Amino acid sequence: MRRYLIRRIGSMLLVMWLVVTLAFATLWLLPGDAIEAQLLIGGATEEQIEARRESLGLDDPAPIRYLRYLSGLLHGDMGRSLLTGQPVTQIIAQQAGATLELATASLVVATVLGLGLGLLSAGADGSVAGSAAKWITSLALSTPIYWTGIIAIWLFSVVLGWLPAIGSGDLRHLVLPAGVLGFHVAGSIARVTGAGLIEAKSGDFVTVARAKGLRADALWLRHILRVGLLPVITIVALQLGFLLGGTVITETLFVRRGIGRLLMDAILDRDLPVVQGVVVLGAITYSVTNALADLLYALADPRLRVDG
Amino acid sequence: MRLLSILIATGLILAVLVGCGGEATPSVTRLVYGLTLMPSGFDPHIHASAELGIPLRSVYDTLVYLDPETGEFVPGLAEGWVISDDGLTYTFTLRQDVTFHDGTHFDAAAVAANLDRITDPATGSQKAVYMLGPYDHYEIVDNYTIRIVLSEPYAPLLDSLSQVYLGIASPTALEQYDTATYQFHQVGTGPYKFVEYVPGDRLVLARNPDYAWAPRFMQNQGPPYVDEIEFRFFEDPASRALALESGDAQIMGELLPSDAERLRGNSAIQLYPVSIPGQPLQFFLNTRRPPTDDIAIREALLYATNRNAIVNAVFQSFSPVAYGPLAAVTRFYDPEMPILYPFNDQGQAASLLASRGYEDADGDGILERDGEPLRIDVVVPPWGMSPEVGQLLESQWELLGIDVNLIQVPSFPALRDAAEEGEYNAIAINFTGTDPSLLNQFYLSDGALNWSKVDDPDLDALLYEATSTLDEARRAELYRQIQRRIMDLALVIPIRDYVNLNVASANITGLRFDAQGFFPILAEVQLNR
Repeated sequence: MRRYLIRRIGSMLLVMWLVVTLAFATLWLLPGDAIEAQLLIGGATEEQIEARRESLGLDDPAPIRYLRYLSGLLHGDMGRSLLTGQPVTQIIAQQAGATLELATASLVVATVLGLGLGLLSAGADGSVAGSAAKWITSLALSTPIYWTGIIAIWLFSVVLGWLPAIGSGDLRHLVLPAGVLGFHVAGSIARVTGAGLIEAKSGDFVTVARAKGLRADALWLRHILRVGLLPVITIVALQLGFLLGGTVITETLFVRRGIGRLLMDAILDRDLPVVQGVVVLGAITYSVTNALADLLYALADPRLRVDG
Repeated sequence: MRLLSILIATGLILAVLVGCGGEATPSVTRLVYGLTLMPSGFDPHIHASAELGIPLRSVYDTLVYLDPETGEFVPGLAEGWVISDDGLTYTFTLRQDVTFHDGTHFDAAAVAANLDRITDPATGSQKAVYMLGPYDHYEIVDNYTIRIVLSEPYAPLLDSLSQVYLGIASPTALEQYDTATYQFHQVGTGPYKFVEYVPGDRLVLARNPDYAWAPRFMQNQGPPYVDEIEFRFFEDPASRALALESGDAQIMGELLPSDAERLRGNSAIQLYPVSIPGQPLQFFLNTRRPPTDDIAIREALLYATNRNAIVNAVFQSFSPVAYGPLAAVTRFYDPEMPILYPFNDQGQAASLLASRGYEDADGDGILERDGEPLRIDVVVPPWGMSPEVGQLLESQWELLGIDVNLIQVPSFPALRDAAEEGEYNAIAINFTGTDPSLLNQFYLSDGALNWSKVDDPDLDALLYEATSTLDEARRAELYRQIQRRIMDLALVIPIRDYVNLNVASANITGLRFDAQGFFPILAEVQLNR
């Protein structure tokens, strides 16, 4: 177990370093940047723009900027926004709470809904409820967030007037965005849950248990669910990537603050230190969650604890 | 089950997180104003976004104001001013009865502190400093008299000083906060006080009960009517009309024309279309790249463009057709432009193309010359319905046998990249502003946004003189010549004057916009129950 742990953490750190380096390379090789665009809008001449770039150190050679960035990162310093001069860590911290709130709520919705739909489609296979569950799963997987989001706002805010369409604040503001984002994440969870359970249901150990005369509820609780739900741990962790992507659209549509919108705005403005900060943060979150999921998986499934 | 306990734990955390929200007290009049993009920063001395002026125009007063009705400069924080004969020295006499929101008294030293801040390279101003043009230094004459001295005459100075980017901030607050933090603690003298700015979420203003120094064109000379105004960021155009219909917002700008058309019959909502001075929606034609290096081809494209059809289809007739490089509501616009440059003559376009040897030899529907097809690369940004306009141009031009390649880019920096690469024949960009000197960036041979790549000594000379001449009649004559010269050279295809489709719920009255067109005069707005 210890060797597994060390190896897992080692590979996690490697992935993080790769992401940081790749993000740096792709972003800083792009021509043009935030400051150039803003100064043009402001009416500056070419010479004035060049002078400003130089004073910000944007014209230093790439290796120097890379080393400066890496060493800053190790000290928890992600640089400053080209546009506001605010530290990137501070800008991200201002937005992180709102996204954490949305992501957590969406994940809860997704997990509950996904497990429910998966159970229904596997357990009630062939019945009307089972078919309905499968149909809803397909809908969640195949429609874009943008579309369901607009429909949800139109239905629940404009027509029914039950919920506020926009903004953040209390729980009522969270229901629509978390519901919409959670619904889409639920699709994958439902699919994996359903498939896992159907596979577990036809396993040899189930036949044996049934032959021994085990009652159906005990059979499901003690055997089928335990084996069939294992992949769900991984899929929930993997959905985090989708969730982070989904927050970009969800936050924009529902006029919520958060990391997703910060990222989108920073990309459009080419405020590269901010983009890089969010990408690196996303990579760290993703790597850590996946490592945790793997460890959780190893704890839940004794077969994986063997080194090899 | 471990999974279950994790779920329960996250649920509990969530409950705590969302339990922190609060409700506004009902006795306060409060309205939500929808902004359409999230500016990267809100410090008017530093940032260049037009959006920041929507709230901040009411937080700051300026030395002078531009009267939206008469188009004249009128006193603001300065009671009067005298311009020296050589046009280099502006002496401002300041009001003595003005107090900043933090209690600091307004005087010449306050103006000086603002000029120091804007011109300090460490501030990193992205717009304000360039608006001062050839600013050299200031001289404090006495407590209420300050002189601004220029190194050369600069006609747009009063226009610059009338804009929010040169709004006068409290010297106390400027000292207290640095350039990165002042934007969260802004202090001016205007009818509204800055309460808070939460990036990505909201910006809140509150009524200044002591306001008694409004410029004379304001219909409300006292403090504003609405207690609190909350600004939120509606970046997705589709959510704007929805938020208004659901009552989540009461005023909003930049509605989609299709939504505006749909809401026209809705008695709960009122439309406020406002023409914005500056440049119309337009396409610059690249004079350095074939085939648009040939003026006959550029003229053919102008003739081939049916602007009425575009305005009807894309803008639901909410916009006037544009005929030149300036929108009709801009100072020194030449009213003869529609008569002189009507274009829209597809037959003329076809014969121009034929006169240059283009014909469809192989019968594929596309014109060729020496085996080379007639191909036009068009680059469009995502905003202002430019992609939709581009698509109509494509279909109109293709009717004449032109092979059109439409390229959409996602942002201004990407548009700038495309312009730098130069692989285009037509590219859409337009800036707004009240003084026509904004043409300099686009039409001077060394202009930073000279995307038609024009290099015309006559045009350069006219533009320079129009920027340095203070005589209004002379400026009007120069800009008349400039507008005609630009169209004679066929440098640009004007499409439509920019109209901002503002909307407000029917219980809002007194909504009116300043001379820039974009910025509401919030002190006049009333919310009726």
